[in-house]
Amino acid sequence: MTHDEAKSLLRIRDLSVRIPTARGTIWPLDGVDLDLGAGETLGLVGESGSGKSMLVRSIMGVTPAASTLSGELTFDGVDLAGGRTEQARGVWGKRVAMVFQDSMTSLNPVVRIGRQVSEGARRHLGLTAAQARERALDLLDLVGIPEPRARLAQYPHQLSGGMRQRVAIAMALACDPDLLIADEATTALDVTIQRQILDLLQEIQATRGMAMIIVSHDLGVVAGRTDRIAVMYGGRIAEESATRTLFAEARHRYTRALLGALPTLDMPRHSVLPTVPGSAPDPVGRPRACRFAPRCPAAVDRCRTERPRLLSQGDSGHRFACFVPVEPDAAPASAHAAAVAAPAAATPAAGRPPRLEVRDLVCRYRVPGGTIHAVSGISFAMPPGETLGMVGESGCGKSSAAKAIVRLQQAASGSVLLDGTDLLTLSPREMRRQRTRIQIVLQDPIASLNPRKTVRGCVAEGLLIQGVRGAELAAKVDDALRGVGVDPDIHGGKKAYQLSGGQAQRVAIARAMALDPDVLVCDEPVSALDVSVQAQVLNLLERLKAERGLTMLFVSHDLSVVRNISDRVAVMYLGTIVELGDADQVYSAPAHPYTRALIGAVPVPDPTRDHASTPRLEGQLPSPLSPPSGCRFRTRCPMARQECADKEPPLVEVAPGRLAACHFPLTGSPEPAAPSPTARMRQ
Amino acid sequence: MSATMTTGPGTRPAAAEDEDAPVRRRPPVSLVLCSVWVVLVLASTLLAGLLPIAGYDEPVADGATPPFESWPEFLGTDSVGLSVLSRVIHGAQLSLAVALLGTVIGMAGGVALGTAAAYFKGWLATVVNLLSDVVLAFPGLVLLLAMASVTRPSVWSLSAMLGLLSLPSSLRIAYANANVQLGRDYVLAARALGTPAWRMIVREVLPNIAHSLVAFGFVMVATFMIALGALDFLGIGLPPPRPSWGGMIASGFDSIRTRPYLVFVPAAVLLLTVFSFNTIGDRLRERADGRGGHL
Repeated sequence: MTHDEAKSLLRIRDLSVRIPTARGTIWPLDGVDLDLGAGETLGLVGESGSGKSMLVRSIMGVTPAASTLSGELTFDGVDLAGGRTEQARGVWGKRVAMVFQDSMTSLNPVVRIGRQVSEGARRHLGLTAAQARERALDLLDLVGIPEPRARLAQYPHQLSGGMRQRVAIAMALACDPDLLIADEATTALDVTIQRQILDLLQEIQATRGMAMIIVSHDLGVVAGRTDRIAVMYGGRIAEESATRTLFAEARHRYTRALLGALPTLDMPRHSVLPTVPGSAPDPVGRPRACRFAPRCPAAVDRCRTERPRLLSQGDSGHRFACFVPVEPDAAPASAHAAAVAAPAAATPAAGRPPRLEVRDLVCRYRVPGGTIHAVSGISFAMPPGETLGMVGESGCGKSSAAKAIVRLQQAASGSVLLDGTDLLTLSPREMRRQRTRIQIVLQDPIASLNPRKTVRGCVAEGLLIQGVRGAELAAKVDDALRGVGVDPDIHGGKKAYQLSGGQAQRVAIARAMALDPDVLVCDEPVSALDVSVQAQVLNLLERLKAERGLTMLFVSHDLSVVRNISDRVAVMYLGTIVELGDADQVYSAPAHPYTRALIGAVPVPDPTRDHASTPRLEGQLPSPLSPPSGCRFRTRCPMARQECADKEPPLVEVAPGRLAACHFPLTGSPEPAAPSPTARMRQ
Repeated sequence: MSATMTTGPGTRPAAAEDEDAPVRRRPPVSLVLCSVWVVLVLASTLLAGLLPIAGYDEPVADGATPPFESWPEFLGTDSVGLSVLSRVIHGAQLSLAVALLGTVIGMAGGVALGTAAAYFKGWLATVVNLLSDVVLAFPGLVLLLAMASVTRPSVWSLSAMLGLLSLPSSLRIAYANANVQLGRDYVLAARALGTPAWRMIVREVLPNIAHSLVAFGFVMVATFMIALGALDFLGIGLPPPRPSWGGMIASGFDSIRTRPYLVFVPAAVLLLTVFSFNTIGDRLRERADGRGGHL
């Protein structure tokens, strides 16, 4: 290796982890070499099953009990692969600390915040109770928690997700670690909160000069915030280089494919995304071959019989494990995003009566402590053949709205007109007939399939309910499966858990499409899928839409995905639509301040993009139990004035075809002068 | 494990190494032995008439003989010369019949009410849960004693009574499991297809809770066998002349000093049978819990 080993803080050589299972030995890590210098920030990127989490768990000494570690793993000269030795325990939690994905489970629910934050410091640094309290206060202050003194006595469930993650970071920082590992630390958060946490991590890393590993499946998250990136696939490192080099001239075929499959905010709408065929590799065994070969379009015989070694290219520190690398001067991966989907059905016929119209839809749930106003009167109309994207952060009501439209959730009031028929007033029998015309695809594909049923059984269910039987049923089921690219002869007899996520989502789409609906509601259909598989499903939806003239309501938190697939976009905030309009226009010139902040918070997979230039949205989402008066966004809006608190802005046309619910929309009129602090309304 | 990667193009592609072989998960010995015992008990009970043994009321000796002195009466004879082996085998017939029938009655009622309550919620769930609380508030053994003192218990009345008494437990298991399943996304997806109530319960939910229910059924059979043993021991179980394990223990009790085998043989058989049903039930439950109802 050409790395300067003297400088290396973390040194990993040929690290493997094996776990015996009923199906054979799996190798979550298979010969990993990696170095990390002091003060360096490394992005560790990979899809599910790539081994990225297992790698950082090995560093932290928290691998599963049944696993066996082999190879070399040292931190500042201390061996971390040899079990719980005295020296290793002095490193874990003290010099290396980790922030986990799910702060709800990584924090102890019955221990007060103050105690949890200072526990590490008390144990490792031997602080007294009073010193520990002071330390906890400093740390909570450092990670930007308001009123830290009051928080000391609170429990994790009393904090929001973003605040909990800040507490987790404070805990990790308690002993001044030399290395901080963030394992998908922002994956469960909304984009605006994710942006806050990533900025915080970056600030702390810079001021303390500690090393940091950011583990993520999202290339956008690591793009602007790391020095180097290591891409993992099938338990091995596929490519590793300086961040800018990786995005500009990735050499490994997998890295290229990954970058290409990502929909970005600046590619043309309805782009057909380049896909990676197949799905994640089987973790059983450690083949003497390139792990990516079965999915690689450029694979040659050698790729299937010999394991490519991670070799460096010159002395640049750019290493990749590929026999058939992409030439360095080839066009950047993202430029391959080529053809735009067939425009046949892409232009919805304006002027025709709407296929689906939603009027003043309201959804409420009663919970202990009050009523949650999930959806507070939204209205929109979709002409036949249109795709309407619905975006917003968690708790904005987009998913409740989608479910209420197909009557999976009770609406409190309002109407949903499908070609003029109000679905919400139909009897169960009449609604059952309408189910052939409007269908839904849910988020978690494997959970949405009955684990006891075969693939064919799942797809047949809807047809059986409609009274289809015999040969006609079998033919329709197989047609539906072929229509989504699932071979009924190979996969028809499998159960849901035997499918990959992408296959399962195809089956779920087939189940909906078997009824030949006119309207398809998609509730976060790709958010549970890996990037390379997500592109396959998006392309499939785009193709089905063109072939069948589907009208599609596409709900997602992912703004890039929504922009690519939608004709128009509705942006939701706290149960209301704040902006509605042509997707390109909304994204290029948002009219509502929330839309602008939301788009600015999207992690962009482009290391040259400057994060600081777009305004960051501060604060948390207000409680949906008691939404703010007037404009619901005013508590976080940088431009809020008295009027915003007094009067709720209606959703009105601010430009032809553009609707926004704001007293001071950004388009057309010049921005109002910055409000004085006193004018900023508090809830 | 050699970690060298120096294999040339001539080697087998994707060769799995020896240690990559699957770890075979063998069923534990206890489970195998318990299953063998249950099969043995069930088979000998069903085929009692075909076995080369004496009838339960035909004396084969003049008086008591200790075990292992003659064949096929290797378990000895009691004070009137009846074969202990015959009586143990025949004695299982009624207890097993009542235990199994009671389980079926209790489970059928409990599962029907429990899944329906979970699906429809609202007033039905309230009423069903209230009724089950009422039944649970009755002291079971006292109720059985009262029944036995009023009428002569029959297989049917005893089974129905046990089924009724156990109904709240199976109802709760079915209710809780069905509630979990009804919160899953596949149920949401089925509702989007317009699945009617009965179809949702029978085709979507039931197959996914069957594991837990069957596991509970085994435990229930074991519980009933103990209850029946107690009733027979107290002399208020199924009336003679048919032998029962509890009755054999009771009648052997007088001579436990001189002829302990008259107590220990039926007691050991009862213990082994109850233990076996419980063990199988526990194992099934572990499987159902550990694998989320599939695989």
